[in-house]
Formats: sequence, C-alpha cells, structure tokens
Amino acid sequence: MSVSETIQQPAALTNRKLKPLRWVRARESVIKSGLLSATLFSILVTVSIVGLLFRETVRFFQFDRVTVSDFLTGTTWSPTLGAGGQFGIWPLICGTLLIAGIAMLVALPLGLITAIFLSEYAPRKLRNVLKPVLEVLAGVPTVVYGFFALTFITPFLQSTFGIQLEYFNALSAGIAVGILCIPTVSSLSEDALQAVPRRLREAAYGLGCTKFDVATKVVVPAALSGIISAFLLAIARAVGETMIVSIAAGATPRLTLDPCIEIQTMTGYITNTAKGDVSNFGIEYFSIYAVAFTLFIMTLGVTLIGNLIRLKFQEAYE
Amino acid sequence: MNARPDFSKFEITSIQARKRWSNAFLCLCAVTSTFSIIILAVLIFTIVISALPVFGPHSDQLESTGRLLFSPQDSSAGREALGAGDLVQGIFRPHNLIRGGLGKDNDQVLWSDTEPTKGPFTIGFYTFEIGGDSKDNLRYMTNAKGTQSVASFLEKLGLPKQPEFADAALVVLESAAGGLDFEKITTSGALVNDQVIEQFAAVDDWQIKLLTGVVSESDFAEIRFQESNRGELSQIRKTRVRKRAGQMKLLMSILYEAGHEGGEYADLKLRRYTDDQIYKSQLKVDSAELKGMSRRQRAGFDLGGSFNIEWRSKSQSSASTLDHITHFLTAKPNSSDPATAGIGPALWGSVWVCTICAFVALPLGIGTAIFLEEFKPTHRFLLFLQNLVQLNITNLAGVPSIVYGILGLTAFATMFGVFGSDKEPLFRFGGKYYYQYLSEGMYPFLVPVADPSTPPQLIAGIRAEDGDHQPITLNVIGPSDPLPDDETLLQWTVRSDSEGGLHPEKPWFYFQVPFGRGVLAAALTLMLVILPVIIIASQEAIKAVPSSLREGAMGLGSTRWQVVRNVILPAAIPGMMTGAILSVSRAIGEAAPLVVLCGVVYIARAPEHLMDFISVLPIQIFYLTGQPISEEGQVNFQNVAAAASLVLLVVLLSFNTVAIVLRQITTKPLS
Repeated sequence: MSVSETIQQPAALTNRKLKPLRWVRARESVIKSGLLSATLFSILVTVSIVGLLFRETVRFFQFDRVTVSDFLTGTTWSPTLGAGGQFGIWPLICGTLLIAGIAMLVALPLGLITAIFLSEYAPRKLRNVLKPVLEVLAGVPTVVYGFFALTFITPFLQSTFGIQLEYFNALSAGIAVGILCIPTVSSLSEDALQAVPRRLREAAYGLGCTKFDVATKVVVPAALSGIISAFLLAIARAVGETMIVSIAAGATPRLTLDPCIEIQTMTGYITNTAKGDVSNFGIEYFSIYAVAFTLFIMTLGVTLIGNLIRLKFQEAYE
Repeated sequence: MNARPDFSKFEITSIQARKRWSNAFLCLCAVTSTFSIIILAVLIFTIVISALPVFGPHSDQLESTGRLLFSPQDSSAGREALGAGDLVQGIFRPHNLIRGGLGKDNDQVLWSDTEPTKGPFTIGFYTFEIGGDSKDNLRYMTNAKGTQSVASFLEKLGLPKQPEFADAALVVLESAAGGLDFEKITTSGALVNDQVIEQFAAVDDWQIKLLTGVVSESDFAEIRFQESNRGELSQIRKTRVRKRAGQMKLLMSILYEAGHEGGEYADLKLRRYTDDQIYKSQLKVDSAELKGMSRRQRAGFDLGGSFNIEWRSKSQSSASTLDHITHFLTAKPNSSDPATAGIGPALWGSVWVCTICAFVALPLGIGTAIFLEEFKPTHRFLLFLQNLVQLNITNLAGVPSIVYGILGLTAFATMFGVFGSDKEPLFRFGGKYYYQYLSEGMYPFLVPVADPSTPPQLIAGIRAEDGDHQPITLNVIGPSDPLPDDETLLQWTVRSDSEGGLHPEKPWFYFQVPFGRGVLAAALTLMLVILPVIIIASQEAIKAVPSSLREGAMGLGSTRWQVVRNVILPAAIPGMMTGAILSVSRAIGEAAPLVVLCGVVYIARAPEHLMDFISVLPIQIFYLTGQPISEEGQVNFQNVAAAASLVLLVVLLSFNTVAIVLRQITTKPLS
C-alpha cells in the first residue's frame, strides 16, 4: 500500500442522510410490527391446522355410524361399503407402521453408518462428493421415488431374491421411503457427531484407541441423544410420507404384517379419497379429517420428542 | 495421589485384532456410504432408460382412432354389440351430459333425456346424474370416475338400494366446467355388481376412444366429440344426428385448430356397421392447407341404417429427437395414446404455482427469520414465547405435507364455506359470462348474460354473438315450427326451447373469493409447506453472520432495522438464497398437498388466470404411474411417467446445483 494514498471518508459517512429521530422510530416500529405479524403467521398456521382437524373430526364422530371407540379399536376400515362400512383406524395405522418399520430398517443403519463415515473417516474429497449426493437424494421428488419403487425395486426384488410380491406391496414402498429417509438420518446424525467436542476424541486417541474405538465407543455414545432425535425425525417423515405409498403400496387397508402384499397407509387413504370424487358432506369426506388428525398427532408427537431431545442436547456442549 | 486403576479388569485385545476391526468397519462404512451414490445412479439410470422411448424415434404413424355406433331406426344392431355391463353411452349436450345405461337384461336402453327423475347434482368437482323411470325403479346413474360404490351413492341420495341395479351397467361421462368448451372431462368407468370392472371410453383428452351410442325413441341425438392429433390438429366440434322425414342425417360442424406444420390430416370415415363397408370417406384435410383457411367447415352425411363411424388421424411427419422433446414439453396429456402425450399444461402449472409460491413465501419466511434472530426481546416471558414460536416452527417443518393440503383445501379453496361455494362465489371480478347454444344450422353462438346462474330466455331480438364475438341476428322460432329452407337464415335459426351451456370467459385478472381449487390456492398451500423450511434456512444464514459486524453497526448508532438492512441482510443473502432455492425446489416436487387440493384431473391447457384449474408436474407423474401398462406399442404410460420424471429431475438437479455452487462460493468466513 502506497503512502501517498489519502484516507477517504467511509462511504457510510459521505452518503449519510440524517433523518429526524421520530421518523426513524416510527419506521422502526412499523417494520417491527410487520415482521412480528409474519412471525405470528406461523402460529396461526399451527392453530388453524389443529382447530380445523379437530372441528372436522368432531363432525365425523357426529355421524350415527361412527363412534370414537369403534374408530380407535376397530380392525376393519371399509368406508366405501355404504351403510355396512366400518371405520376402525387400525388397518391404516398398521399399514403406516409397516411402511415406517421397513423404511427404518433401511434408513437407520445406512444413515447412521454414512454419518459416522462422513464425520469420522471420509477424506475431504469424498466428503465433497457424498454430501451433495445425499442432498440430491433428499431432493428427489417423492413421486419419482414412487415410480422407482414400482418399476425398479419390485421387479428387482422379484428377480434377484425371488420374493413373491404383489404388484403393489409394502416392501418396495417401504424400501423407497427408507431411501428417502437416509439423508435425513445421515445429515442430522452427522451434525450430532460433529458437535462432539474434539477433546473427547483426542483423549480417546491418547489412550491408544483406534478410529473404530473412538467412533463407536466415544463419539456415538456422546452424540446418542442427537442420533435418537435424528431417528425420531426420520420416523416422523416416514409416517407422513404420502406419494410413494400412494403409488407403490396399493389401496387395500389390511391388518397385516406381511410386507409382500398390498396395504394402505393413512396418508394413502387420504390421497386416494381426496383425489377422486368424494362428496363434500359425506362420511368419507369427514373421515379424511379424522385420519389426518390421527396422523397429525402421531407425527407431531414423534417430531416434538425428537426436537426436544435435540434442543436439550445442543445445550449440553455449550 | 489417586489409586492406580485396577488394570487386571481391563480386557486387552491385541492391536492387530483391533486394527482388523477398525479396517473392517472402515470397509463397511465405505460400502454403505457409496450405497447412496449407487442408489442415485440406479434411479437416474432407470428413469433415463424408461424415458428413452418417448424421446427416441418411435412410429411416425401416429394414429388415433375412434368409433361411434349408430343405430338410428332400429337399435337391434347396436344391442348385439353390447353386453351386460357394456357402455351404452353417448349424448353430450351443452353443459351437462349424457347418460344412458343398459338394463339388466340388455333389453332396455335408458336415456335421461327422455326420463330424467333426479339430478344433476354436484359433488365437489363432479356432476352426477341419476335416473330411471321412477324413484323405486332406479335404472342407472352416473358417476365421474366409477370409483364409488353404488351403495354409497344411493345412500347419499336417500334411495333404497335396488337389487336389480347391481347388475346394471353404470356409465359416466362428465364435464365439470360445462359449456361447449370442456375444461375438464373425467374418465369413465362402469360398475357391475358394485365393482369397477373396466375403464371404458377414455374421453379425458378431447379424444373419444370408444364412444358407442344407441339412439332410440328420440328424435335426435347429438354427439360432440373432439379429436386431437398430437394435441393440435383438429377438433371435430359437434355432430348431430337428426331424423327428418324418415331419413337420418348426420350433420357435423367442424372447427379446426390447425397448428402443426407437418403433413397431418384428419380422415373421417363412415363405416356401415352391419357389413363393415366403408360407406363414405370424406373430410380429408391437410393441416397445411388449413392454415389461414376458413375455420369452419360443414359436412353432411345421409344415414340409412346402422353405422359405425370411425375416425382416425395420422401424423406422417418424420420427427427428430428434438421434435419429440419439444412436442413432449408442449403437448397436452393424452390418456389414450402415450406416444403423443405431453406435459405442456402441467409444466406451465408448475411454473405458475411455484413462482407465486416463492413470491409469497420468501418475504414471509425471511421476515419471520429476521424477527426471530434480530429482534429478540429482553423480557423473560417474551423470550419464552419466542422460544415457543421457534419450537412451533421446527415442528411445523415435520408436519406431513398432506395435512397442509387439507388445510389449504379448507382455508384457501373453500374458505371454510363462509364466502359461498366455488361454483357460486360471493365475490367475483373480471369474468364475462355467456350461454352457448347450437343453432339449427349447426353453428354455435353465444348469448351474453349478467348472472351466470340463470340461462337467458331466447326471444327475438336478443343480443347474440358468434364464436368470434361478432354480433349476429337470431331468428328465433317456436319449438315445433318448421325450419326455414334458406340456408343463410337457417344458419342463425334457433328454437326457443333450446338448451344452452354456460360458457364463461375469464381474463387473466379474473379474481374470486373463495379462491377455488385453482392456481392461487395451490400456490398458497405450497407456501405453507415450504415456509418452515425457508424460516429455518434463513435463520441459519443470519446466525452465521458474526456478531462483531452486528455490534459494530450498533456502535455506530444504527437502529435494529438499519443493522438488519445494511449489515445482516447483505452478509446473509447468499445463505438465504441457498435455502430459498432448496425450498422452492421442494415446492416444485411436492405432490401430496396438491393432490388433495386440486385432485387428479385432466387439464388440457395451461392456466390462464389465478383461479384457473391446474395440474402440476408431480401430479401428472402420479396420474401417469396409475395408468395401465399395455404391452402393445413402443411407448406406454410408464415411459411417459419416466420422461416427465426426467424433466422434473433435470429442473430440480439444476436448482440443487445452483444452490450447492452458491454455497461453495459464499462459505467464506466473514469475521
């Protein structure tokens, strides 16, 4: 830097326009209230979701044909059978849990091991490839996964492993949902693993541990709460996943744990009913609210626990 | 001094063994991690491979055919062709439709024209008709998709279930919007014994694949069918069979929409049903000639017996791969011929919805993030509230998107029912309404009305316009008056009891409350879905701005907003943009809420105003994956679904790439 260069006044000083303080304060409060109302909008959304689902669910139970106890304990879901139709939610919950279970069998081990690899082992270059790939995998639209399950996973399982599968089946839909959940598990778990302080690792190395020992005996236990929260959020995602199951899992509500046959999940039922020609005031129309309410409570519960664990865990190392 | 640890309790594994474990685990890690890369590769590979037939060279002889069975004087010929459960079908009238059912013993053909007892009534999108000669002798009913069981419909109508009804064929063809210009037509199905047995007569793409009509006992029937070849060639607008002096005459009014430059032609043949001879082949037109020609042609055929009318159109243009891609991206969807199907309207729908969604969601999300990060209250209680809001937003991100669809349906599309219904909105602005009629000379014309719910009274001197909105003078005659012989007079002659269909014309600024299941409601619903994502991403970006910058600006006497505008936003914008791009790409790929909101319906054109019905790309893919796979032909619907997925993936991958590159460039430490 040459000495002859004169020091210029900062642009902020030359360009300044002084405004009356009153005006500035007025603007400040207008902007603040504007931003506040934007924030309150998210509260409004939550309140309206809960209020709406609750109101319409109450209306659903006002029909003579349904009772709360039948809904919560019944094992047959056949809303389209007219007067003989039964509204027992368990087949749909069973389908949902079956899909979520298969998905977790895929996503949890793969996601966790990927996270450990990314956090503890992977060289920088590989990391730079893997992270975007995982992001892209998370960004692939769920309809495309549904299509993939239908046209690739099912035929692949049939031809390679010789499994007898129906055209629509829970297994391939569940695997597709699992693939969808891998990035959720891996990125949240990796965040948790990264948050483990370096000194713990170094202390372990100092005691003569191998990388494997450090990863499995020190880092993973230390990050366990974060990993559990990642698992819970992934479960919530799998439970709420809609398009894959609508496309690939079928539309027959069944109380079964057989993954090779057609089932229906709660989300699948909502799509299947809402996409067609359901009456605005019929019992089927209101049944989607009751199902959605059940779904909402399930996912909200799991997400809430997951987030609370995560928040608590974040504080632990600060 | 601490006591020495009791080393005897340690199990000492040899270093070799532990290293072996470590290496084995490393291998497992590497294999597992590459699994995601393999999956992505396989996914893209599968989709590209299945999409190839759509873009690759396939048959240049694109054909679409149709069949129309007529048995004007004696319907026995027609009946032979039909079995129980068959579709007996085929009268479109302006506005509401057609319905007909074949009785249980094949002995009765029932038309609601002659004996309507109930309906039409509207449920959601669809108009339903039910009829029979009396309430207790229910013969047939229509239903838009054939997905509902008979019993549930009867229950809705408060009718007892008729055992004989269970064996009857049910038939459906439907136009939701009404008027001579269908906006949407759903597919039809037939119900036998409470089960959907087959999908008949795909009419959902302006193309009637199989349209069979038996005309009996009625003086005239009119059939409208439209045919599209590669989406744009021709439309046969309206035909009518008329019995006059013992002679049946099939009249046609044809409107061409010539658009394609290639050597395509439409070819209409009349084939005698009984001996399968081609009776008359007429109407061979070349679209190249049609350009600039008069847009309306008429043709008349004399019908003397039973006929099977076939029409087919061919494309003889030799298209290159580029042509196929352009065609695929711009053409209408087509449910009967995968080789000519396109995704044009859905693509435009996605563009509209996601643009509006981004414009609404970004300010709202970024505003919320700024408030939560930069306007932190000092009071303990307020701070607690803020933490609650924060937790709420994090949980909103975990709410299944289909729940947002239900919320959007109630909050935006119908607005809790307080502002009237979608069809009868409390407030509307900008639309012009007409009733469309067909004159006795087979020309369509429009009568403007102020109130769309009441059809106008056809009287002499009423204001009327032809299809190009030129004023015309109507010659109104009584229901049984003789028709004038003069052709020019006949052109605009109409009977006073003619039935018209509502024909709304809505410009781009058309607006209504409630929003209906259209573009705006869809965009706002997607906004709800991506809002938490944008908020969280923007918060992360703001958090990444070092507090030294903030404090420096504060020290210079800036107000909080000045800090935000001059310091925080410029520093955080790249991070926010990354989050915004990723969330918009989520909106592009999101299907579940829109399936609930918009339904899976056939949309033949891009949206024209904010309340217009739409389809978006993911819904289109969802629809295509549900189509039956046929073994014939080089292209089937799975290929089309793959091609549409490929388009979606290309868009999303480029969005993702931009976001990732943006982040790579801008992740420099700021302090």
